[in-house]
Amino acid sequence: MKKIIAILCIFCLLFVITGCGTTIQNDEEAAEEISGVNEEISEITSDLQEINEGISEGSS
Amino acid sequence: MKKNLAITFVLVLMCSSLASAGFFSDSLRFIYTGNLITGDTVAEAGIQEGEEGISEPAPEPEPEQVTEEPSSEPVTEEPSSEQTYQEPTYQDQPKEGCWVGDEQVPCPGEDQQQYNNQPQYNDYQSQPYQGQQRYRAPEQNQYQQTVCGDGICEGDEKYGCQDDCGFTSENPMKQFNGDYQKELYGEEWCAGGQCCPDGICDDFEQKMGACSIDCSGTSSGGNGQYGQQYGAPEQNTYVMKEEIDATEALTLVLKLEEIRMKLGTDGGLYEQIQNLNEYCESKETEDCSRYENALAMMTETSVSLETLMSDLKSSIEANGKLTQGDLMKLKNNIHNIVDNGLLKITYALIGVDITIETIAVEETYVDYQGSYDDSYVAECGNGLCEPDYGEDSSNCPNDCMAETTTEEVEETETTTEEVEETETTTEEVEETETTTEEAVE
Repeated sequence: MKKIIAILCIFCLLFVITGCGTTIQNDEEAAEEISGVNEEISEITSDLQEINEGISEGSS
Repeated sequence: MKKNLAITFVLVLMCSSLASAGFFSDSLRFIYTGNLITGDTVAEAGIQEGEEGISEPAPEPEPEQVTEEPSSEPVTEEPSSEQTYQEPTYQDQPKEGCWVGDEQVPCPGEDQQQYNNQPQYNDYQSQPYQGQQRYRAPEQNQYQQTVCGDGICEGDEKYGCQDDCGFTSENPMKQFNGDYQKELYGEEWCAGGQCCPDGICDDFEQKMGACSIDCSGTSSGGNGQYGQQYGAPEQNTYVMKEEIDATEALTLVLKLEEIRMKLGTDGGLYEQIQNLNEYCESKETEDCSRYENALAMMTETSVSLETLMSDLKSSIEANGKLTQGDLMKLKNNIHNIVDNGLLKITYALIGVDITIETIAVEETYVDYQGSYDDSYVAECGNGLCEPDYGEDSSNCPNDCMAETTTEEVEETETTTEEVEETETTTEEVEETETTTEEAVE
């Protein structure tokens, strides 16, 4: 019985830890997340522009 | 023995539980990616290497990395928001080209390329997440002492900074008859009264590439009147490739697939915005519909990318390559995805009320008839053929393909009908589009 309770406690602890690790807790983390989103969108736009350049060639 | 088994079982369960919750995905990502520096997957790295192969001789050192500007996030190594494109600048190949002592001067025929590459990105200037649009000479090229674009023609700018040293509509003759032009192009400059700009691309100007205003269209079959008619000679610096082979084409498709996955519901970007949405909802103090709109728009963008990829794959399977028509279509749809997809996602994130709509994948390049006002001046090189504004294959082959086969005509006609069908009137918007409020519901 004690073992089962111990295992359950471990699982509860794990769920708490993992739950805290994936959510935003405060405005500072939210700001960092927004910054990350902005960078990601910029990167995607940059990638698309690279594709655009890749299908064109320079002329003088 | 049983105890050992039980402990092992518990440990396995613990690890799997942690892994499924994404606990290892960020901080310990290197364990399964093998990339200690960035944590990027090998697959991603492979695709990035592939993209270098397909792009133009792109600048290898990124501007931000060279200048080492202070960043608010010193840990991350991802490109900052300013790195929206990599300009082909002088620093890419510092020892190539023509040199006079320690100064690099434009080689004959190259002066139009040096700075005129930039206007190709004009279509993106309205995007809020692209802050860096003008040249900042001290950071990005060899002209360390001067700033190109400050309105002062100084130092080495006379060899390449058209913004400051001429080529402007306000003072087109500025510096054009000066000594430095003769130094560059010889005593024949302005010989016989044929100066620049005079609306005539004479043999000397054409041969030397010395007057982009007069000769902007000559490289691709234009004439002297073209530069004056359109007033945008810088636009004409890139032409569409005639075709690309299957290998390169498949690399393009893979790159699109990478972008689609990033934007898709399983991508990191989607997850990030979802986290923001959850945080916003947990606060219960502000309207969180903007994040939901952004998520909805991301889904639409991802779907349109998938459709585009599917079409491209069909073309590759059928022809073994991508033809110029396919490339035109790709270029047009990339513009479409950026303007109607990514731009709207950004707008949604900052709280602008957007309309979520399906991004149509056009069958070929689109003639945006009737969408401009009377003051509109066509820009050659923007990827749009605008015959109503004087563009045709003779004066702007970049936008209007010169040889149009019967099949292409039929295809274009079909596309025009499709475009007419997809043009959104007020009623159609009400019927087919989901407004912000509806999306929230």
